[in-house]
Amino acid sequence: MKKTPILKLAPFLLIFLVACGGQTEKQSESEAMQEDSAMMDTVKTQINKFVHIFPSHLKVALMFKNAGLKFDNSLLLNTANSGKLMNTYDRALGLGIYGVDMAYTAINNQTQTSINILKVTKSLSQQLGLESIYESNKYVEKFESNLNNADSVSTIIGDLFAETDAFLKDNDKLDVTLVSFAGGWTESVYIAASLAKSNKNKAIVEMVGDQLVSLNPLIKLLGENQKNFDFKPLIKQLNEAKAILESGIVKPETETEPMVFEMDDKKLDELIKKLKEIRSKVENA
Amino acid sequence: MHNSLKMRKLFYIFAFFFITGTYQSSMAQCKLRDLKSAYLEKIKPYEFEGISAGIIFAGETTTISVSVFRNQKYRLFFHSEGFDGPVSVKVMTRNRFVLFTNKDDPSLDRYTFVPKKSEDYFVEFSTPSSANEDARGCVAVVLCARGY
Repeated sequence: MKKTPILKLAPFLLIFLVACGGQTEKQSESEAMQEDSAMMDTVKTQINKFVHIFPSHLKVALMFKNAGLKFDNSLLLNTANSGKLMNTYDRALGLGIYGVDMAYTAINNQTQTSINILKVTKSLSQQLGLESIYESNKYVEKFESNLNNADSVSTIIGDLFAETDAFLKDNDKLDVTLVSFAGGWTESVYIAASLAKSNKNKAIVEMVGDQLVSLNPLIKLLGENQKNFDFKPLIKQLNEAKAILESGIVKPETETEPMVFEMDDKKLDELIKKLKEIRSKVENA
Repeated sequence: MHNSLKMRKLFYIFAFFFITGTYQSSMAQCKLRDLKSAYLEKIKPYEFEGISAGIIFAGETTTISVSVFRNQKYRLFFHSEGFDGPVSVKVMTRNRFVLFTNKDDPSLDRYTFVPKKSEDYFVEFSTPSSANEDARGCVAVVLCARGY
């Protein structure tokens, strides 16, 4: 093979260096100052990295339970296909969905089902590089030794969620956190809307409307963090779910009063259908 | 002037790497997992809900948003370290209605509340200026809840 002598590249290298360096001669002092200021701003911007605090899935599950949400095993996402989730995006979405199912079963004293789901979330977490969280905190062992104590199981799950969230953010995996939160949000609202429809529970319907509070920052953050993933299809689906939810606002909130929110069966069906569409990415893997 | 511009560029390249290096070492003290562990005892009898933290420069203002649900009992803890003086904290609604401020007592590090409606609150940190342009520290908000 004929090698390109480095000398042949020298003129191009020289042109490149001149092009880079030549600019400085033409710059005025004030332009240089502006550039300096922009550079420092860039450094400062990199340092400021604060992320919205979303409600924990465990809190949402407990709030729904206290509002009268019953347990229905048929609403859980089948775990059979969880091993077929092949990419980071699908695994993160699955982690969020199964995480909520794990909390939902645990707070309803379905601890055996809950531990089965915990094993699924552990496997997904390992595939996402989060195995150290499970190992250092011994969640499976703690869970197994507290199977008869629903309160302790809830505390363990709450800690697991918090550790996972902190680990992902500490390791610059905000995008994975967001997909996982989107999965959890979808599952929480799916379960609540499905049971609100069958039980005609107005308090649960109101609480479904309240989930708009975390949906807005979620959509915004997904839009801002698409370096490694294409979130446009998910954002579109979440925006559609948001529009359905907003159609249930009978009276908007004021500075001091909450909004009045109602959904008839038709709107609840629309919402459930949209959320099923998001879940199907994991269900039909 | 040419030399002065070159020197300035070199200075900023050096400053960039210095700041980035220092930033990474500062970040080691502003890790969410460490802060969460440090607060687990302090927040009792409340339960940990979420945390947000980051590094900011002295003399800067930053805002951290948090979603809260109506009729739930919450407590926000405010954390700051690495600054020369007291850090001022405000909690506001979206319309900048001030719900809490530590203006009269900078030692106040928490705010307990029950929101009347589900909404986003905004925690604003203003850090004291420093003679050292490069001075920075860690600020964090810990959200806790009780009773569900």
